[in-house]
Amino acid sequence: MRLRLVGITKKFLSFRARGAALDGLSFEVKDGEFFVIVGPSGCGKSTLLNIIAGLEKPTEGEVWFDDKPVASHKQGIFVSPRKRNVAMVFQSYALYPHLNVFENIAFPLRVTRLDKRQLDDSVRGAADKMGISHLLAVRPKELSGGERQRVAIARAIVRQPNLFLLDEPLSNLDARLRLATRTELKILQRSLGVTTVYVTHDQVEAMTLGDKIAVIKSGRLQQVGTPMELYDKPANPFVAGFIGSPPMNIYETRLTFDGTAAQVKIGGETIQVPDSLCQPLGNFKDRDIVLGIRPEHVSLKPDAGPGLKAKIDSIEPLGRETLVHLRVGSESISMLSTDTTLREEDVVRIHPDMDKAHVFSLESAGG
Amino acid sequence: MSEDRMRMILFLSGSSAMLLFCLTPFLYMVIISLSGNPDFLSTKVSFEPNLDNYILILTNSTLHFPDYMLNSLIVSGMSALICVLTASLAAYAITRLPVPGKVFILLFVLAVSMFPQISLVGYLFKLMTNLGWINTYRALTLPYVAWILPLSLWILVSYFSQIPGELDKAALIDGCSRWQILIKVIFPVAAPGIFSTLLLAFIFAFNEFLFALMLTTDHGARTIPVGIASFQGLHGELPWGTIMAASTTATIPLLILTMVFQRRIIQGLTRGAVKG
Repeated sequence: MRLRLVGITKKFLSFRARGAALDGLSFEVKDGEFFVIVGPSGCGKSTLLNIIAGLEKPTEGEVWFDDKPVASHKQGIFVSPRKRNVAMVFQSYALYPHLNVFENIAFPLRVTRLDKRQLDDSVRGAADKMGISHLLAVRPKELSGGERQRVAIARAIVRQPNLFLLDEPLSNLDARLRLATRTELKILQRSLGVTTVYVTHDQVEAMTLGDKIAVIKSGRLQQVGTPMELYDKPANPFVAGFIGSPPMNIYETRLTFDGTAAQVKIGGETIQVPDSLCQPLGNFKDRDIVLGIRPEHVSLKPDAGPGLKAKIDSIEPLGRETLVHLRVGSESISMLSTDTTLREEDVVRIHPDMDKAHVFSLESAGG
Repeated sequence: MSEDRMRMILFLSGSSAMLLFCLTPFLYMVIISLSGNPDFLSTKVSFEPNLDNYILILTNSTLHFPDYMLNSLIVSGMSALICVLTASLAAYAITRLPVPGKVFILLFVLAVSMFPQISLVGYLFKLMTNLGWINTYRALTLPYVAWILPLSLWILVSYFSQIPGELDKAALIDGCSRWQILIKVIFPVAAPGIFSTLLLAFIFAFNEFLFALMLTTDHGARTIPVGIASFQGLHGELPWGTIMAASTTATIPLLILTMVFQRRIIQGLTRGAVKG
């Protein structure tokens, strides 16, 4: 099923959270796509998921399932969640504590009064798929976090929903299990082919799982794109800083033009900026910009040629690589390096690959 | 002496002092009810336990004790049921639905429950007389429901608000209507809380004296507390043995209820059944 959101706005009128939680969001999720909504906590991503599920009404805007509006402020349409045939997995799993695993999975089918044999087959099928067939008689409180999560997913897939909604389903698992479940979830989604909307605050999860990612900040859509689009061509400094690990080095600086080439200053040292980067900004003579350089695009420069003189603040070995935090004048910069001979307090020369740097106008940083 | 031993001794002496303090009157009551002699405090007569008093209250038709007992059970049971049913619906609405001014509703309900009974009973008597309901079950049940409802509501609101809201959301998405959520999810999950509220409401109604005294006239609707109090008037003396036997018998339904539901209540408190 295709999901389309048009100008979704949600305003809360409570004492606690005033103002718009969501502000004019529009995007489309194609049939069978794994769509990830990512943003820092409190950006409104869970509210958005609730609106898609029908748990909350949008103040303005429309939600479309295929060619049918399920919520529209203008037309006064609102389809209740029970008629939308969506399934949802919650962060806390929200299993029914008074029912055993079998009954938990069967719950959505019981409500539709499915006949007994069909119900039995569906429940066992879903349990099989999630590898929890041996736990059917157990109550949720006797299960581990990972098992509970499997039950929650089995409950979601048991009735073949149009839309699969996941609200931070991995954040209560420990690191190793999270990694394993992540892979499994992606394979499961592929095999079911159900359109999926997945909400997370973890950009690594977003990058690894999503066919497409929407980045949201303070209720506003920042960018929608494939993981590599977001990584290679971030639309603004927020997306640039949010996507990618370790995070990008970001500087507010001034672009100047000395007659032959554009240049910027980082911590008192000057670097030239290639024309290709400046062109999207139009008139780039003497204006304030935001410059972003990914740590993986900064390298050591052994000779004394052009580059930045930097002092090593701290070193974090990541295994294959080492994350090095350096200081250039008053600014700090991080770098990924494979050099294991580096020591703290060393003074080195580094070279940021400016062809791969990102330049944003200062206005775009406000959004 | 080791610390553990000391602790054990303190614990045992503390709890036995507590038990003694609480149960002595009860013990005294049981002993008197078993003694056949009116001079039960005299040391000249030896104490010979017998069941005469019990047989008397259960068989003597002028005492109407079984009638009072039945009245009490019916009135308290109905009051508790209606009360808890109404209170659970209200508590669900207050904890789950977007009701404007929830806090004010709760505070208002609390304020209503602050009226002393004595300030209401005069009006209630007039009302029930005009309605012609004096000495009927509904004359007691209705005021009892109104009187116990605030307490039940507050208890149930605190129970229901411990149930995570995501459970409702999950049930909504799984295709339930609001009524189905209440019946299939909230009630079973909050069962220990509902049972203990039911028990509490029952005990409150069972013990009530003032309303029952004013709104009933004879054994047609009179409840146990008033019934026992009227024993003395019947005979122009204080039949302590009979009174004590009646009091002892009257505690039995409460004792049974507590024992039956206690396991459920304690289960609910200790096993954290509410937490997903």
